[in-house]
Amino acid sequence: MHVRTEQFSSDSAAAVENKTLQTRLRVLNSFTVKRNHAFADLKNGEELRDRARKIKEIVIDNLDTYLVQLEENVVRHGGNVHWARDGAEAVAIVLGIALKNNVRRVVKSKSMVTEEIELNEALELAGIEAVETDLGEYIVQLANEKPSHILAPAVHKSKGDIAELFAEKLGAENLKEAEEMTVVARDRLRKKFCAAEMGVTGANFAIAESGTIVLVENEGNIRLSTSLPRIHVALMGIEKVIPSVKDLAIFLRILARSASGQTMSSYVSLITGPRRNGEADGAEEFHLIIMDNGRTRLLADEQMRESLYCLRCGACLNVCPVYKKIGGHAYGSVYSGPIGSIITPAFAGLEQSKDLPFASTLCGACRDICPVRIDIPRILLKLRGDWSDGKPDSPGPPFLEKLAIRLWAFTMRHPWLYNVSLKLFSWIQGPLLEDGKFKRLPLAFGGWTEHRDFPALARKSFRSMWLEENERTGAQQRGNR
Amino acid sequence: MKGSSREEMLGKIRSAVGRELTTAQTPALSEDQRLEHQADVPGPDELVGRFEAELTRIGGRCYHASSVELACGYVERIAVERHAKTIVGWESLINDGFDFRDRFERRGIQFKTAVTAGEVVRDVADADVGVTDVDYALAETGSLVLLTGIGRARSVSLLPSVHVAFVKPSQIIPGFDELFAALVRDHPSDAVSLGSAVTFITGPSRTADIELTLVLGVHGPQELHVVLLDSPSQT
Repeated sequence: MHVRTEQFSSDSAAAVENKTLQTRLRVLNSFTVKRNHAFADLKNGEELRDRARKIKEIVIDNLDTYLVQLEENVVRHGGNVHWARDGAEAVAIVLGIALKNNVRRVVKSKSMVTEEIELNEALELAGIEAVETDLGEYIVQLANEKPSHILAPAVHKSKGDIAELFAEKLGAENLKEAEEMTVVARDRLRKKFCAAEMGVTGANFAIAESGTIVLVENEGNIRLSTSLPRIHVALMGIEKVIPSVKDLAIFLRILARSASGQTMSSYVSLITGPRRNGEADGAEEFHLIIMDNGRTRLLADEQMRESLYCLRCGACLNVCPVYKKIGGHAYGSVYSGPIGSIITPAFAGLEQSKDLPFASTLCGACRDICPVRIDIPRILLKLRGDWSDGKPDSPGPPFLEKLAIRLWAFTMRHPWLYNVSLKLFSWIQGPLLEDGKFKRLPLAFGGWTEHRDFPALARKSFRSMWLEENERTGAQQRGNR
Repeated sequence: MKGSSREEMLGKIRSAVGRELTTAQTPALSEDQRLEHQADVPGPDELVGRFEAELTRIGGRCYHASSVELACGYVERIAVERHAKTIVGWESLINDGFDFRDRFERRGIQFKTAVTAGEVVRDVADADVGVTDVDYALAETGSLVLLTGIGRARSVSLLPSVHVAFVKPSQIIPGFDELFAALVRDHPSDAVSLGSAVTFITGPSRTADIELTLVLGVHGPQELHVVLLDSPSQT
């Protein structure tokens, strides 16, 4: 997966300064408000979340068994199953199917996995047109950008931006309202759906007992991509499998609510293999590509394993104070926000993406809202520790920082030394203060004082006040006897 | 080549969770791990009312027809109001006694049921209204559940900008749990038989991708109408 996470520091600083982006990001709060209402409506929402997590735990702990069962049942219903160890292999499989069938045009629905493997770029290079059909993805594709949010890929763009884009790229001038722009997109994309030979989707869930993939949407582009073109290719990460159709009763109830606060998305499609004999539409050929691409690395690490429970609902993005300030692009990865910060290091390497686990206040809002209760802050701390300890592929912090932390740790473990240091410092701090505060700290600490003051050390430490107070009351009590 | 990727991946998965290279039995989730009764799912007398309330809440429209005549009349009204030229419908509706053809022909509207494989675009894409029945309707969410089959093309409820669905009150069931139990019970030829596709339709097609402004009818139908066939002779 191609990332730009090494640019996080400068990209996020630029994002904070970007006034248009800041205005656009404010709308994300409405997702969370709706999500909270939707969950409040459920009498046993918490129980549903517990059950969902339990099912995911069992599946992930027995992933091989369920994947084999899934494969058996897909094949039994006339579908094809392919296994891809990494993104390159997945791309090769898709290209193989396309070229074998003389596919010139592909319609795609929103799929994080296909972004991860950069499928569109590979198809274009092979001379195959790949059109994104989800409205937000279509907009982002026209603008030659990457999506900035799992659910609302074009949330960073204003109506004006989109009107300009449609005028420039589609020749559709003078569009003002969202309805008008949507009508234009509908017309253009309808033609694409009718002409495409192949539809590519992801999969929200894959049901092992029936060989069914489950696709959730609001627009109808997935239904079109899986009904009209002759070939349907579905890509999924290994973690998407669930045991039984009955489990959908739990997952469907919490997915739409967590993602957008809806009780149900407009359309859910359960697709089991190609069309049957005598049916008029649906794909004639169905291919399921099961992909690893670093997920077994997450699986192998017991502390990281729960990140595979993720439903890709986007709720953690919507509550994260960091994401809401910098938006998705600054993360430089397909997966942004809290979930992105914990899985990107597995895909792109910890050294490359080291800023992501640190870009968090550890407020825990993500853990509180995650429908399957992934403990994201715990994993962020673990990754910080991994990086500081210099594993697996990173040299860790610079020597001076390591030294400073070691000195600090030594001091903290020796209370007499700690107290002496405090006393000493409170004597000599005088000349360094302005208005009784530190307005400028040296070296790396300067980052703190760039935007805020640091308080001066108190004349008397709490500890010495406590000791004095105890002595005083002790003396009083002795006096009273 | 394909075989070896599969073996390598399964091997990695097994060693990741620390198991020998054997095929473990699929662990059966015990009954208490499945959700039994969903507390806010409606009781049997509230089914129709709850279905209608949910459907309306998500932008669908509900019409009670106490006769075939009235049901057809409703569809005719919709078609005329929208200046429809072509209507496409599932064959099963004709078999159930709905006399669309004559009625629409009188209005100069073409009505067709034949959707030939490979000619979906020709047969359905230009239709203004699509008419189907349903297999189930969920009171919990106001959803329609449509199983694909011969003469029951997916495109009919998808391509035209208006979708009319005929629902019998007996088809309205409380919620998801009942639905999945019904799917197993009503189609027992397979352990779990879902056919090539099962589609859940909950309201019209929608998006909020442009500045979070809600717009209906992006790729799927802009209007969803449910005709509830209330007449006792319908059940």
